[in-house]
Order: sequence, then structure tokens, then C-alpha cells
Amino acid sequence: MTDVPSPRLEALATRLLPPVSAEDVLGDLAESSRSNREYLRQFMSVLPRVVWTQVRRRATIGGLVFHGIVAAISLLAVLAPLEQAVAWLGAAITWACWVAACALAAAYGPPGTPFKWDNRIVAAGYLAALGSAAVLGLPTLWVGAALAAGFIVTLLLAMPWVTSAAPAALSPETLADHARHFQRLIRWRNARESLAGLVVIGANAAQLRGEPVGLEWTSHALFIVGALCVMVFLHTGAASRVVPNGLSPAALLRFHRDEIARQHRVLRAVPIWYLGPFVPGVLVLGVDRWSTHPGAAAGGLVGMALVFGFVWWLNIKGGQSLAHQAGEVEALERHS
Amino acid sequence: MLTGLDYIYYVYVMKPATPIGQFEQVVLTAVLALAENAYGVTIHAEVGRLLAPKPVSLGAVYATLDRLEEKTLITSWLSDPTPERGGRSKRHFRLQSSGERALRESVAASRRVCETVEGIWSSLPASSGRRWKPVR
Repeated sequence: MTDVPSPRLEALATRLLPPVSAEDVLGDLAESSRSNREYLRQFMSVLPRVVWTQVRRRATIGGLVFHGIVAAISLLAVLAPLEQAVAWLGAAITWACWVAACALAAAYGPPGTPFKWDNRIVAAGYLAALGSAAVLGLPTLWVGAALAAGFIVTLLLAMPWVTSAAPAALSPETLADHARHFQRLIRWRNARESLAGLVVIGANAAQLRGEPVGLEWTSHALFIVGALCVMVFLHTGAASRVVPNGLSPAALLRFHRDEIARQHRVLRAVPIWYLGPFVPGVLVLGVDRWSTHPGAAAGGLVGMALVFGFVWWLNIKGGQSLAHQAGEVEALERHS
Repeated sequence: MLTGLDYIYYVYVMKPATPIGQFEQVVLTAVLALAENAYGVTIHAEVGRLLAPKPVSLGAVYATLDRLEEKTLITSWLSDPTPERGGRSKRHFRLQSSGERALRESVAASRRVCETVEGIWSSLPASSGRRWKPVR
């Protein structure tokens, strides 16, 4: 089996596989293939699944959706005001090309650093998106500016989260680092959400001025109250804690385990404290719009329900990750 | 509010073992059977043996292993490089306690299905020529 795979075939497979998976997948393919043809056939069946696995692990579905939404808003903000007729299908193709390139860039990032992307794929994806915009008759400069702005906004919003690299595998020696890293993530999350809350309050307060008191005015006021409720809970029930110094290993384990469990409960209760406060405002706005545009009102309510459901699902996935962390801490507790 | 959150936690979080599909059950069985020798190639071969003569692709096994690891039913680690694989490491897999529980419940459900089906088929007389018909 020394001639399977051929050097050229193995070089091709090495180049096409995500670096994180290449080591063990190439070994499995070499061990299980009796001929170059069988190697190629197995490789073709393995490649799409391995790439998709790394997209889900490194970019995450939530991250992709977030990046897609930001990119779409950036494109809409730039293309909508333009007077020339815009081929919206062309814009959708350009958007899809860019988001797919970013997903691949994440999947093919270097091993050992979970949140680093392959910059060459990002650059190639950007050029491909610009190329598709030019071919499809879109204003290329505006599209380039919109995609770049959206990418920068995504990085800024995600940066505090991804650059605080997780410490090494959990052990009695790294427990304190893990506990502090966890509290740091919670602090950044609360800061980000508080900033978003201030934006919601500001935007709705601007709508209140000059608006006669009625259903729409009430809905904006309810949104402000809802955002305030969320921000209060973020800094009370969902607040981060300072890891006490001088704790014994057993006490530190208990502290970290209890903190993970507390944040898990917070995530599971997102429909109550994060989404619930905005429901009255949505309903009042829907009632107000119903009298003049019933179709749009119904569509808006359905859209909001979908967005709320998606946010809830995202937090359920976050809760599963916390459950996994709690399991690791409990395993460490049993063995200590 | 904490009492309410605790209630929600115990209602929605403390649920039974993670349900698994048929192929996931087979892959978990292969990981269990292979013990310390469970890695991509051996798991693929064992799954192929369990599902014979139906062919199984290596890609399908990888996708299922990834899904099971995401559900925290199994865990994986990279071994030292091995000379017979061109100096490349193996990714070994091991069942977690949650995976054992999920497999146990899945096997119990499969056993109940088998007993029910065999009970129905064995009640049909072989020489009567009658075929079993569903209740309408």
C-alpha cells in the first residue's frame, strides 16, 4: 500500500481539506484505500462533509447568520437610496457569494486558533463578490464599500469575544484561568447587549418626539421600557461575578460550576427576560398598523415571531455548550 | 424570579437522554464495541459490518461522529503519529456517560419494537396463506 495514494493525489487532498481536519482524515483515507481510484472516491465523499463540519464548528451557524444579516443590511443601506434600478437578484447573488466565501475562510482557518480565518479566501471572496457585482450590473464601488463596512462591523461586534482566547484544556492548574475567562465572556456579552439596548432606547426616543400620543407612541414607549428591563436584568440576574482570590481548589470548582449553572438558567429563560419585555410593544405596534395596513401588520408580526424564535434557538444552542462545560467541571470535581 | 427560573430550568433542562437516530445508534455501538481502538477507519469498518450488506460511506460516518460529538455523546482526541498511516495521527473516539445512556435507551426501544413485530409475525400460521393486514 506504499503507492496509495500517489504523491500528487495526496498533495491535492492536503490542499483541499480544511487544515484542522487534514491530519486524521488524510491518515484514514490512506489507511482505508487500496487503490488511487478508491482513495479519490472516498475523498470525494468525505470532503463536503468535512468542510461543512468545520464551517459549523469555526464559523457557527449563528455567526454565519449574524454576518449574513449585517452584510445584507449594509448592502440594502447602500443600494436602496440609489436612483438607478438595482437588480435585486444580482445583489442577492453577490451577497451569497460573499457570505459563502467568509464561511469557507472560517473553515479553512489555521488549526490551534479557533477564530482565525484564512485571509487569502477572504480576499478572494471579496474580489469574487465585486466581480459578480460588476457582471450583474451593480454599482461595484458601492457594493465593495458596503461589504467592507459590514465586515468591519461584524468584526467589531465579535472581536472582544473571539480575541479573548480560551485557556488550555480544563485541569486543576487551569481552573482559575477558565473561571476568569468565563466571567470575561459574560462581561463582554452584557456590555454588547447593553450597547444594543442603548441603541434601541435612542432610536425609539427619537420616534417619541413630535409623535402624538397614541398607539404608535405607546409602542415606542413600551420598547424603551422593554430595553430598560433587559438591561437591568443583564446587570443583576445575569451579571458577571469577580472570581474571588485565595479560594481553595474545591471552593473554586464549586464557584465555577455554580456560575456555569446560573448562566445556563439565564439562557434557558431568555423568552422571559430578553424577548418577553418587547412583546407588548410589538403587539401594540401591530394593532396600530392593522387598521391601515393589515397585510403588512400580519407580515410584520410573523417576521418578529420568526426573529424571536431564532434568538431563542440561538440561546438554546448556547445553553447546550454551557451544559457541556458543566459536565467537564463535574468530571474534574469527581476526580479531584 | 430565581424560583421561577429554577422551575423553568428543571422543566426544560432536566429531560431524558438525548434521542438518537438509527444510524447514530449504529455508530455509537461501533464506538462502544471498538473501545480503545475506535477511530475513523475502524468505526467505518464496524458500521459496515453491522449494516451489511448495505454500503456505508466514510463521509456519512464522519458526519455522524461530528453530530454525536456536538451532542456531547462522544468525545475525541488525536493520538500520536503512526508509521503505517504515513506518519499521521488518528482521531480516537470514546463514549461519554450521556452517550451510554442514550444508547441504552435507544437499544431498549429497538428491543421493544423487535418483540412487537416478532410477536405479530409469529402469530400468523405459516400454512394458512393469510397475510397480516393492518387494523382499519
